[in-house]
Amino acid sequence: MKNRTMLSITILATCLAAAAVSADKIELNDFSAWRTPTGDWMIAGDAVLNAQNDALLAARPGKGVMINGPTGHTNNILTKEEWGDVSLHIEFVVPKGSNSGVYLMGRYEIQVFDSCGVADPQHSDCGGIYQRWRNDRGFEGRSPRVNASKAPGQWQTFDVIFRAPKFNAAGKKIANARFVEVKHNGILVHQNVEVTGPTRAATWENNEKPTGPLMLQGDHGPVAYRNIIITPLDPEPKPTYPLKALIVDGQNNHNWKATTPVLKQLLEESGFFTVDVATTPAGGQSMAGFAPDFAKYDVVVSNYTGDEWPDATKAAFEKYMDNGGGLVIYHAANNAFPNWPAWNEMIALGGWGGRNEKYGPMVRFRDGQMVLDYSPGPGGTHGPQHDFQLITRNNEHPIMQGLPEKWMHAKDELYSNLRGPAKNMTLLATAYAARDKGGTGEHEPMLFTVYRNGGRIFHTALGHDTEQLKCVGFIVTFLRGTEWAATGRVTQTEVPHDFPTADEVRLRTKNNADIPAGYGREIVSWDFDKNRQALAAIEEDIRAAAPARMRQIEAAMVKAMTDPQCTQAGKQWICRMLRQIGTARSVPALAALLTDEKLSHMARFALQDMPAPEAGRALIEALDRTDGDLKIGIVSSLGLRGEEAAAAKIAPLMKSENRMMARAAITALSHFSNHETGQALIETVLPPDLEDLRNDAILTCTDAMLNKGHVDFATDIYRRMTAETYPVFIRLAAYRGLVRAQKEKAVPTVVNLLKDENDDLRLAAAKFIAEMPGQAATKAFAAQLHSLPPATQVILIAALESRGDKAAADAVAKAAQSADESVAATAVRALATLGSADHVKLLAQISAKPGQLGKAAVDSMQRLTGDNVNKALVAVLLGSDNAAARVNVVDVLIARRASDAVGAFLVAASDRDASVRQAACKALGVLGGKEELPMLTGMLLASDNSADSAAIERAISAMAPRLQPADGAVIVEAIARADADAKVRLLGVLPRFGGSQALAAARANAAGAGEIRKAAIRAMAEWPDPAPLDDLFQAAADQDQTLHVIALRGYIKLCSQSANRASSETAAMLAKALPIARRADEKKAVLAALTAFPCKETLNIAETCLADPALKQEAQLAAGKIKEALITRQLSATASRENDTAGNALDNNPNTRWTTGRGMKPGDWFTLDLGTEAVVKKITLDTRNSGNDYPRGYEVYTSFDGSNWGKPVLTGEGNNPITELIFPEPVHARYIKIVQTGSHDTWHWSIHTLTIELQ
Amino acid sequence: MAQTNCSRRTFLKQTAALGAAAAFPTIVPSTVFGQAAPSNKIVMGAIGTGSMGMGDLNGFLHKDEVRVVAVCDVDKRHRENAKNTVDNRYGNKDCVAYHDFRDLINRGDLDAVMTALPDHWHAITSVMAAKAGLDIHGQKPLARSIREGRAICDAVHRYARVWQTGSWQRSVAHFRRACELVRNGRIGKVSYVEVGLPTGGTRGPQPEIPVPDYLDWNFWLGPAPWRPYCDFGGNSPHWNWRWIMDYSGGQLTDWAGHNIDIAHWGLDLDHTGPVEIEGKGEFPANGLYDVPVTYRFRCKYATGLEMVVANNQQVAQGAKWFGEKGWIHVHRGGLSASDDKILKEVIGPDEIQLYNSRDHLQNFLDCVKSRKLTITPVETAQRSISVGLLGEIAMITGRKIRWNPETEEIINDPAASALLGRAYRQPWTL
Repeated sequence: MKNRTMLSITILATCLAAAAVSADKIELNDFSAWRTPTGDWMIAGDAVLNAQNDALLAARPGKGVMINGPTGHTNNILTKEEWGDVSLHIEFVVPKGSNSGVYLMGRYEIQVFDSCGVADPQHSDCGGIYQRWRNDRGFEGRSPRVNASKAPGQWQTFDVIFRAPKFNAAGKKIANARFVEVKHNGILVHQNVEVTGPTRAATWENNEKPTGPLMLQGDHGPVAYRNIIITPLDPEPKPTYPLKALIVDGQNNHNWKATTPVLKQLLEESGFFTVDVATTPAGGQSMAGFAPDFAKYDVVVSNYTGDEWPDATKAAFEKYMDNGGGLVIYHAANNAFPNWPAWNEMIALGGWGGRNEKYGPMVRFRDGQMVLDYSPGPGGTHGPQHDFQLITRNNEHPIMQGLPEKWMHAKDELYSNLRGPAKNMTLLATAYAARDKGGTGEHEPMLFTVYRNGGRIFHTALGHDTEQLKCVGFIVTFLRGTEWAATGRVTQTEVPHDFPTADEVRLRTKNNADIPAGYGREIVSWDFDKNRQALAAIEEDIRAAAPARMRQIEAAMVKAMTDPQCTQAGKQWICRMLRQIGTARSVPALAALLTDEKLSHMARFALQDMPAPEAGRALIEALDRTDGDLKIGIVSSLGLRGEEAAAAKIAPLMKSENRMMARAAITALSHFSNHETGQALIETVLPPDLEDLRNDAILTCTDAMLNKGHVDFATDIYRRMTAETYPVFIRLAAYRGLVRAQKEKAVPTVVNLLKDENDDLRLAAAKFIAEMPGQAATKAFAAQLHSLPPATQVILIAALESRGDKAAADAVAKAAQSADESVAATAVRALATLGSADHVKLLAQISAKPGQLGKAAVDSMQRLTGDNVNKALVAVLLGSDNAAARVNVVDVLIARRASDAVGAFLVAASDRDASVRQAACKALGVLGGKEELPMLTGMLLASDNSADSAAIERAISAMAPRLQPADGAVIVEAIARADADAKVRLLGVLPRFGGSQALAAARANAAGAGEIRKAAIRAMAEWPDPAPLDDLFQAAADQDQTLHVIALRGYIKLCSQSANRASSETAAMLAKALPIARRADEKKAVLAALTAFPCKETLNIAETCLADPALKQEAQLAAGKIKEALITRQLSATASRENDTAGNALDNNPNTRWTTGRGMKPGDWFTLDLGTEAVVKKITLDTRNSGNDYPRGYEVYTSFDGSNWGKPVLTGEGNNPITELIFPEPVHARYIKIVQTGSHDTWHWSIHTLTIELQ
Repeated sequence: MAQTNCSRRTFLKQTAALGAAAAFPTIVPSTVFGQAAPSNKIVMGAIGTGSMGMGDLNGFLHKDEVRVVAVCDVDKRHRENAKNTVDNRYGNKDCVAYHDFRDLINRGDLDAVMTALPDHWHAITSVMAAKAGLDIHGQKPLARSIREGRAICDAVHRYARVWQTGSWQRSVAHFRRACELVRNGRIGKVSYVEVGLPTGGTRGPQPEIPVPDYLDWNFWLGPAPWRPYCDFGGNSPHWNWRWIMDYSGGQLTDWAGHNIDIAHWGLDLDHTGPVEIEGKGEFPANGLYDVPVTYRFRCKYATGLEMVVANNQQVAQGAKWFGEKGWIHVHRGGLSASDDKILKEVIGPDEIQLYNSRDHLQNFLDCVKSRKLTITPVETAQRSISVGLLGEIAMITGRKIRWNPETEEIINDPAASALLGRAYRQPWTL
């Protein structure tokens, strides 16, 4: 119980107080209400014009007024408190020409300016809502209706009613920030003005939040403020859905009789609207009776253009709009009422009906901004219908949220040159009216909003006829725009998956496709032991269905589920489907199952993660109707759903006698993560066996609170839960939380933990050190290192290594010199990660030490990264007086493949210490090249130390494979000058070079005697190509047995080397070796060599040898291997593309194929490996199952080795699905390559079956 | 004999309390104590002792530093077989056999557990074990849903537990070698990778049959939707639960923890995931099984990298990376490349060296002692299985899924988002 009281209510109370609503008036007796820095801002009794300079203010002593310093150029000042919806009264005074601003939420500015006497005020004049700013362009500034400014030096007032932007649970903006009213000196200058985002010079220009501080601009000129009264407003009542919409039609030069029903259906099917239609009398008939009760509706959708309405109807409509009504202008509705001024202001832009320059400008989007074009001409035009692209111009407006920047609209009239007052517009999307499509060459406005008095207007120029209404882009913007016009909100934040893309139109063709009656009836009788065909068909349907069809499927599912005959299995399966597609419409039927013992969990399957809020409400409501296990299930679903509204009902369940219930309740509360649930978790008295779970829940809740930014709250809880009275794993988790909350401030805590006597905590501390972010933390830990006992140092160094932050390098380097062996070794290892070139010298010194420490230093030097490590290693090589260190750095440089160190190796190759010299030679062999060869050769000639000579020989041998045969000239030339010992060594490296010059030298020396002749023949025996075959054959006749063996083995080896010759030829060459072989061993070597060339001839030779008893066993083995190879080697294929499926052409299955996977192109190839040599007459390529995929042209090559191909043996053109490659003369080859010479954009080259005809 | 059952945890506590060895380093090298010293005994319990479970259990039983003291299974035959195996190994009758895993976890003397259960049980058991302060060797895939996987990660992180997933391919030399070659640019920049996994199967409708007396069917189902007992194949629900969505996602989710895991390792993607997933599966309709038989989906990562995951009739089994300079293909049968020279490449000491484990279970035990991350830590497992589970969601919904790997949320598709988690049958809760 002690633990609980420590986490007393006081902490929580403090935290809760911070969130509370504060007083109305901001007292300006001091700056306690304001955030720092407060700059030059000062408190005064009054502010008056400076007597000497009327561009400055003078302060009078006292309190209650705030002035931005003597010059009027200091920082902006922000309140500590944050607000959302508020009413604000504020008074200000400016001197002549000065400038400031009042920023609601630190983001949305009402301009303060000396605008006294300005006739035509702009957004930048006093009382204006300042423009927004993006890409160096301003937009959306709103001028005050009138200029209400007083003279400089006089106190003025703003009275503002402001609504903050609104966000849904997912954080998406559903309503813009809105100035409901702004009064300047008591005069209404704005009504119902939305801002789609922060205005210019806001503290946060790029984000919007539900709350923010009041900000007063202080850096644009002198200003003083007083009497700041800011009062939170009650939340606006949420709109009641479905919204009531009225479509007005009756006359239109467009097909209104067809489009109105589609619009109505779209609105109704969305689930957001109910729709009535008001139809006027036909054209020319009396309009007298046309008087819809507009006030009954949330929004009016106009599909009307025709005769004037009666004046009383017009007046009623204006009144409806002024009182907060909504209007949607759909396509040709903007042709209506050219002579009704209020209408023209509402629609902002219209076309035809005699509209021209007298009606106002055209609106264009040029050079990144909206411009008004006053040039004369008639209003309204369009070219022929065509698909065109819309460009989103304001993605912060909820109507456009989440829509792509560009999207295609279905073939439509592109309305252009619309004209009108063009006031109070927010441009949402434009379309480019291309001249080659009969357009204006301008970006024309397609979607925009307008405000006028209290009314909201959404205007869409799209949608000529029913065909255009299938466009998903039209549908989405129309539904969102209509909701916005009705409510100022857009809660339809989801972007449908079939929304058009930048280059693809998307139509809802299935929009009206009703599912057949009885759809899904099979489910009613489905059971677990039946096959799933009917279910699978619906699952497939759901995958393909458009939203409207999906809703019909949902309805059919609900119907089947509520059928009294429906099986438990059927209901289960429907619940699974509703988990995928269920909406609010399914909730009642699912809610009914929550009390069903067998199906409650399946209802939760559908409800738990369903986006609709109704699902959460149904679960909460079910708490009262259930108990036992069913209630436990519902509690856990509510928890996982994060349904915080359930907290009050769930909290008491923590005390349930049923332990599973109590556990579920505690766990659920932990998911809500707010102060209240935290408090409930802490304060409820629980039995001891629930303590661990409760502690875990508090930690879960606290972790989430920390993620939400409540650092102090979280720190306090964590700190208290580290107390020794808690179980060790809770303490450990609390420490972890503390580290996350406090960041580098937690360093002392963690260091102390390293010394804790509890092992689990000490082990965890190392983990925390590794995980804590930031260089500051690294430095803080590193600073502690040397004050710790050695054992703790070891842990800390290893943890610093895991961090990988090089800021710890110097501290670790110091530890590497520690007298404590384990500290030093750990530090040396850590330097591999943390160190740099700076630590090479130190590591090299340490590397000379014996044992593990020295090895660790070598290893660390190898692993060091960063610039200049190799340079530093070279410096040690050339500068260190420790020979062991010098040898070690050479090894390190080799391992690092430091080719830039070659010069240093050459120097070190004449080091005073033999081990360094030999190491340097080895390095030259691995890393050196042609340039180093003469010097190495020279060293060999001069060497009088056989160990050095051997090292140099090894180096040259190692280097040679990277060089050209011609480079061997150096060796050839040196042989002539060399003494006997050097000659033998130099002859030994000759075969590494090969080439004719080297061979000539070998031959010349082979003519000599003794060791030199032996060395020369050994060199030829190791030759890289068959050139010395004859020399070896002759030398094999030598009486000297050693020479005979060397030469004969060399001959067999060279015969066996890969060469582009037929196996039969190789067989003949090998056969020559048999008679001259003197011992059975040598003959056996010949037999072994034969097996690599399976063919008739080699088989013959092997079989002939069977007669010799000494060879019988070997000959049998060889013959067996050859036969096996001949039989089992199979045809295989490779290809330039889709190589993995090349075998499909050879599997005799016409249903599988090899294909290029794209249109055939010259150079595509397909190669056959016959597995053995054969004589081929004809190859047939069959692609009848992809009838167009035959090669348009081909060349055929052959080879024995698969790499040398020569000239084509056949060329031709394919012209039907069976291509026959008939060789004029049968070809002898192992490999056959077919190369494509034709091309086709569409058709692939494929081979379904390939057949070969042999001779 | 009492000493041999003294858990490492108990020993450390005692020695610390005595002050005798209070100063030994946290990163305890395994050589500090003799192999059989009681301080090195890691006391373990085994939850789930069917085929995979017995494989793991036998592996641990052959480690001298492990002492298995408890086993648990809801199938009496499995339970008794496991107890007998343990008792035979130790030559006594001390192993305790549990029916309910909660009793095993709450014994209070365990250092670690190994679990090998059907996927739908992974989250509940793992989270409970982590909250009880146990280290965990858990079979792949990490969990049946992405939200469950995250819950496991959270619990493991919160209580600083050592976690190892059974993705043992990472402890096999040629897989590591393949990944090291790719990581170090031996085939140039990689913009495409193919992952091939086995193909599924089907089974006709099955009649309900009586539950055998050795099996607690209700407990076996646990948090999954109820269904009557039938023969999943092979006369039991074991093993072939893999083909039913309530318990698993089929070969796709089974093997995601192997081959997608390896593909990620080669590309350093262990802490992120794709941003777009789109694909199709062939869902069987003829009877009991309902996971895709064949499947193919394409994932796009933020870097532009594309990964195609498909059953092995469509792409080769294993992971195959395609780079600017060639390809590397690795699978259990071996390692190959577009050019053999690539395979002979030496990785220098100053290049990227991947975590080197040569014995998977030993790596877990070493980390239990050193508290370091294992070769297959929990976050890695979460990222590997997420790809498979997102592919499953894309195939079930039939649409392109956009994914935020930072927040682990599906973007702009609340209906698909509902498939990221699952409600549990009462009274189970996470």
